[in-house]
Amino acid sequence: MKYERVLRGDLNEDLIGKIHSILEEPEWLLEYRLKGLEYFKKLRNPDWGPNLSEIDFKKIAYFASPLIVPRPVRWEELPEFIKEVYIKLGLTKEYVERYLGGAVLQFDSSPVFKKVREYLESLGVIFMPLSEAVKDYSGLIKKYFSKIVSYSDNKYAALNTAVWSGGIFIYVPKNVKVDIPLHAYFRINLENVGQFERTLIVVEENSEVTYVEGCSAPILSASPLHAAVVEAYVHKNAKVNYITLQNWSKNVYNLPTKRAFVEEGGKINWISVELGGKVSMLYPSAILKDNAVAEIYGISFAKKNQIFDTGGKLYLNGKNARGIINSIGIVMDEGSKVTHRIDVFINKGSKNSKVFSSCRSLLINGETESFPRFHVEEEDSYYNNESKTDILDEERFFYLEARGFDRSRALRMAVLGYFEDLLDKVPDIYKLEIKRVVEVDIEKYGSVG
Amino acid sequence: MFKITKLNAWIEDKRILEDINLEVRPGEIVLIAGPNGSGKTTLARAILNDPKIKKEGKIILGEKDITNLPTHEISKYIYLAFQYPPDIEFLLTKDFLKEMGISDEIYSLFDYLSLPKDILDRGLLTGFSGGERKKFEILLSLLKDYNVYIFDEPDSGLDSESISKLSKILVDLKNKGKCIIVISHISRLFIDIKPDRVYIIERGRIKKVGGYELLKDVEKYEV
Amino acid sequence: MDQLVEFFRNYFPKSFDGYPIKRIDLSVVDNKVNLDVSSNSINIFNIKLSGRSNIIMSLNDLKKSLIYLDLEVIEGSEASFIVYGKVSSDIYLGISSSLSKESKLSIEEKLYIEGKMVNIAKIIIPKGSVGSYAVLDQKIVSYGESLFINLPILIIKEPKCKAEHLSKKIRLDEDQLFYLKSKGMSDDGIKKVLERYFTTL
Repeated sequence: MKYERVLRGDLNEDLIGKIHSILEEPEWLLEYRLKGLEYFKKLRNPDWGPNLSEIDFKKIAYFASPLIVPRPVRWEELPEFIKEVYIKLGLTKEYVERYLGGAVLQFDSSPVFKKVREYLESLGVIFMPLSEAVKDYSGLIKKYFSKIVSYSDNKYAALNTAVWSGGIFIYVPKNVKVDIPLHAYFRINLENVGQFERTLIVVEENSEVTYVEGCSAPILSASPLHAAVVEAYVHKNAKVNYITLQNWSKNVYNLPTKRAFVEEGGKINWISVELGGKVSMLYPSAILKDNAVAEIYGISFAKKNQIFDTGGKLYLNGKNARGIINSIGIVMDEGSKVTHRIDVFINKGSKNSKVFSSCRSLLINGETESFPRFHVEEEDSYYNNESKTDILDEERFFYLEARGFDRSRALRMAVLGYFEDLLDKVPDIYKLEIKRVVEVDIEKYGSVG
Repeated sequence: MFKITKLNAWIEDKRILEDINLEVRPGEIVLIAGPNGSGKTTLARAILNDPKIKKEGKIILGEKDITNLPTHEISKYIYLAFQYPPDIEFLLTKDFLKEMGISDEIYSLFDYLSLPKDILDRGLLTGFSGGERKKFEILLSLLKDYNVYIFDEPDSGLDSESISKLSKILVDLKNKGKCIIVISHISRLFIDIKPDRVYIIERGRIKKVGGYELLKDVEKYEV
Repeated sequence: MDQLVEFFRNYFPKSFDGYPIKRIDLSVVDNKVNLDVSSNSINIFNIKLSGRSNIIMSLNDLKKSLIYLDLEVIEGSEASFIVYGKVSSDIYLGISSSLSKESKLSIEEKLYIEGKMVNIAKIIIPKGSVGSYAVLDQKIVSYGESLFINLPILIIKEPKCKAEHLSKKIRLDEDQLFYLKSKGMSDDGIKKVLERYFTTL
């Protein structure tokens, strides 16, 4: 990886100013960055959850440019749903490989991306890096930027607000159902995703979009900290599916903040598959108005001293609001841990609201915890929370092995079977990719273990 | 005399019943039959003023207009045996019966209908089998004196012994001069008794009215 | 006292400063005990449970109080803890329980909340508690201007164990209310019967 410019060292107004001028952003963003800096210095690490004290802020490169340094991608490596999109747009394998396989590319002008962009433009959909979008659509973005995840929310949202670069802007106008999943694949080569990405998704009334972040291949990252922010504004009766496949390398602290504001009748689906990193703290959340729905699904797979602290947050502020949180953890060995953390606020006025939550862990070894929290102010509400541990111990392995399954296969069967019902909730085209991703991970683990 | 005049009903802006006219005289057994989804249960629930059902028209019992009375007022005069009574885990059956003002004579009726007594300590209808639910609804009808009895599919899921007991109960009520409405699409129940009038409902409208010769038509709807 | 503040954390009520503290240390062996809780007090129970033992606690008619229970289930024992009742005032309930090898613990909570309640129920299965089994079952209903904050916590450090909890806050829905009313129950009658479920054992 070669960068023209890297900014590290003391995080101060000077450094922030440099980022702002390198990116040539509109003025109003500088104010947010400075506020972010102020709160980053003010706020402390949470006094709960995994130990974050080892993050060495001096070692972090707060900004690196350019972000795009491609590596050749083969057709076989692409997930099914991406291949389907290219095929649908009339691109052949050879064509795709010729342009995705090149040495140095300007993705903007890449013919592959051009096709995708043409199709999206015909729908009136905007899909571009947020750093560029703020120049072309300043007014539109200013309406929503930092309104759902404020810089005061937590230390890492503050940090992101101060130094963000990279990330995506998606805008879908009224009454448009985007029938191809949008993926960062179309934009950048994932090996060099920025650590402080900021993503903003705005979907107008009655529209629908699906965005997939991350990929199955493990991403090697030099930076020990990834603190992304994702804000989604779901207008009336609109629908957003946000799917994350996280597979950072072993050294990474993954601390994103993801939140959706869902207007009347709208729906958000957060689906996260967490495989990588050293420590991950992830609580996709949703603020729900009347008749709004949020479904939050997460699978984490902890091995080799990984710690996943994850779950979801729901704020029910409307009648007939509905929430589902389904968090599944698989803990493979001693030293690894999955913590389920759920926060549900059923506020006064949320009549006839319902929340169904479930925290389950398959413990092969290691530790697991469950911290659900329900704050209920409305009598006309309903929730049902289930927390459960299941074990897959030597006896069960022995049984499966006696039936002819080798250890690795037995493990794979047990793990896949464990989150089968969660997978049912995921649109078909992603099921395959998620299964594949998990299988590869288990195989890797199994072959070493 | 129980009379329904020009009843129209909607659930969430969808019209379920259109211009229903129906009457039941004291001592009459009226059969309402029709295919699934024709609105039979909605009719029963509308009579009890289910708040989910918007209605227009009149429901009169004797001299009294009961169209828009609150449900628990109507329940003094009309008993409805639900097709699918909901289970209510957090009310003990015995507490429910006590609150209804029912005395211990109920235990003999448990035996009569072969209902296990342990249901008293269970949540209301919780864990009841389909047959047990039907029997429970029939049981409750016997515990107080009502003017009108509506049985919504009381025979589905019941064994033949229970069905003949149900027939006896209906005849008994008839002899007492009660107004009886049976919603059913199985004619087994009417081997021993003949309905005084048969209404055939299809897609929310009354398609045919007649005597028991219409029972042949009812067989069409048997599932 | 520090232990209490640490346990309740941001939910520890400052308004309890100066309240009388009642401490009870119990060792329950193959026995059934009904705990006596004092209103307008801080009640601290340290209980060791062995053999087959049951603890019962009623919250009925309890006025503003804080209750903290530290339950230790001894190796090989089978224990249960039932707390039930109607909460009409401010109640803070904290349960910190830990298991050991081959021990079983079942915690059941049946709560009717009309007032304000903070309920923290923690089950800890430390490493080495092989063969242990813990169950937490909560059934809650709330009425009126109530506030209910519930944290049912599971901390599991031993893979060879089994733990589950089920927490349900219910309300009677339209269909259930229509059924009950069609059988002649008034709103008051319905509330009464519901209450009876939660206020009796």
